[in-house]
Amino acid sequence: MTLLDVKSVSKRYQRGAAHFFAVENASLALGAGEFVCVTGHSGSGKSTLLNIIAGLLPPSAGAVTFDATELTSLGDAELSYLRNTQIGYIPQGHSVLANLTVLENVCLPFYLYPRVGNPADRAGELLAEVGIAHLAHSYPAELSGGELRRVSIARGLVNAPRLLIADEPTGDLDRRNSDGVMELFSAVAKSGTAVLVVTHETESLRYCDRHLQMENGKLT
Amino acid sequence: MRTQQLTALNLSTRNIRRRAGRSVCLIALVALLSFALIGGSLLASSLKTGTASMSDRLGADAMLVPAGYETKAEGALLRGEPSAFFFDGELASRLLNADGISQASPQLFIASFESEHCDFAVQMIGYDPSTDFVVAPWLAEAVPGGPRDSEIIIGASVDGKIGEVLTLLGSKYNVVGKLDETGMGFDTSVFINLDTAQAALRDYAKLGGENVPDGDGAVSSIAVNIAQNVSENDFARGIRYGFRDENVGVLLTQSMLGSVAGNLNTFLTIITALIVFLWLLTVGVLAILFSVTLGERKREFGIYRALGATRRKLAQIIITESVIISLSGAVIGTALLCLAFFPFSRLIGLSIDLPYLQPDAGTLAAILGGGLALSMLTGPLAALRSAVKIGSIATNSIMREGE
Repeated sequence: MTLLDVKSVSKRYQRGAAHFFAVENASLALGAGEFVCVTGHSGSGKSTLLNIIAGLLPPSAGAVTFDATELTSLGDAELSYLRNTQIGYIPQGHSVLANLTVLENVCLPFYLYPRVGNPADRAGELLAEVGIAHLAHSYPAELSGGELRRVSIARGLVNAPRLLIADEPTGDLDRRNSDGVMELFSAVAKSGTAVLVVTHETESLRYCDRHLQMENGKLT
Repeated sequence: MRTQQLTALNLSTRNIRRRAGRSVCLIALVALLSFALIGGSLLASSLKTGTASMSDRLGADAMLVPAGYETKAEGALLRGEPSAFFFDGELASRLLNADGISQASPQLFIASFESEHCDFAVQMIGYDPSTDFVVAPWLAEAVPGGPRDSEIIIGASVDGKIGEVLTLLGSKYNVVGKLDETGMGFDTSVFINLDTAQAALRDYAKLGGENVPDGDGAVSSIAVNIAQNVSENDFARGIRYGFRDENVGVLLTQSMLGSVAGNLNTFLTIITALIVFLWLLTVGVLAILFSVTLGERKREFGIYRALGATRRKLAQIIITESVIISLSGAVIGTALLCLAFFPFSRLIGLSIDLPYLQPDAGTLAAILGGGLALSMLTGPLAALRSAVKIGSIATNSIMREGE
């Protein structure tokens, strides 16, 4: 069953007098438990597509439907809530907050909305799954790049999302760490969460179920 | 495993702590504003209360004094500057019966001085309880019927207690009353009846006091209420002309009040302008700092946004931070102001050449509360633009990172 349905989505920008498409007529469908990788050069429109899917950016044309809900029909509050509860988003680069511990960073999405309970136990389990449970009470400044990326992944999973989106999750990691991260995504997909990863590393493609190429805003 | 709940308040507090240097500067700026705002308002209010009190106390239309002593008389009344100047008894009798007067009462000003004969230098004011209409009504509140011979009523700032015996110009006086604060020269004066004052004048002459006229019945001034059908200017002109050989000066109360009010208005205008300028400056500086900080923190807010924070939530974090900063600054500024102002209020009053009287508790509470509230508003007001802009800035930050 299709969880995410991207239909003929375009994003048009204006630069001076000229118009250009960052994303042009892109379509994509993703089911639960499916692991899809999108590759492409820098500036090919991969991140713009991810931001549209995450509801951070409205498309100029086309529609994104998540679990039968058309995203452009939602206001900021509904869209933000959907992103918090259904979508785990892992931004590019180091995306942890320096003034929170690793454990608090992982718990942060839980606390953005009123919820009952304490997410620390689940956060601890996730940190164990990504192999950094021993760093739970450390601050980001004490962690390596690979460890920080694992924190972002654990944080993306804390609210048990149905879709996990990652933007260049292995961008600044060495081969060993990259493999570790991709293995994690593979495991997450196997547990039933749909995973959509944008990367420019062809070595990572062996972990995904499906590979899409993006070039000049077009998805093939 | 447990974590502290990450509410907007908790996140904001951590952000403030993380940028300790910047936060301290912002808090100090609001504290300075709060200090100036409340201090200026207290000063302005004290001056207004002092002027109102003076207006109430100076119940006479005019004071007749020896020509050339008008400024000294004003100084004695407004600031309690010890002064001594006299009419002889014969002239005083004629002045009491001059044309255009509906009510008149003599007063005798004698200055004690620092010596072994006096406990301290003070303005002694002798008045006639049977005819006085200026000080007698409110002196009667302290001592019904006024002081008897060798009795003394002391002003609020004079060092002494009821029942004590004070030595002035070599004579002893029983303190029978102490007045409430007036904000004018009466606070540093003592009051005696006219007979006691005549005896004190003789003491003053014996101890070398100058310009004391021969004979009995000398007075320093005559408080006058002008007859209804005579204008103040006509009365003053008439006295100056009619007593031109005796050199009589006329001090018109309204003109004295007008001069004080004029000085006060100038003072208040300067204080108000400074407060408004400082407030605008603080709001402007805070707004710039919040805006600059926002630029530094767009990545951080972009992360919140990616995790599902609404624009409103981001604004809430920014506003909460600004409220914490403002509240801390306002409380510190107000506390410092209270420490600096209230213990030294009397000293401040004495150093200003204007009537100065601390307002009542209700007004004080209103000024402190109002100043605190206005200072607290400064931060959120300055952060408003940043709070509105943060949603789109944060989203753009996350998106640009990816391209």
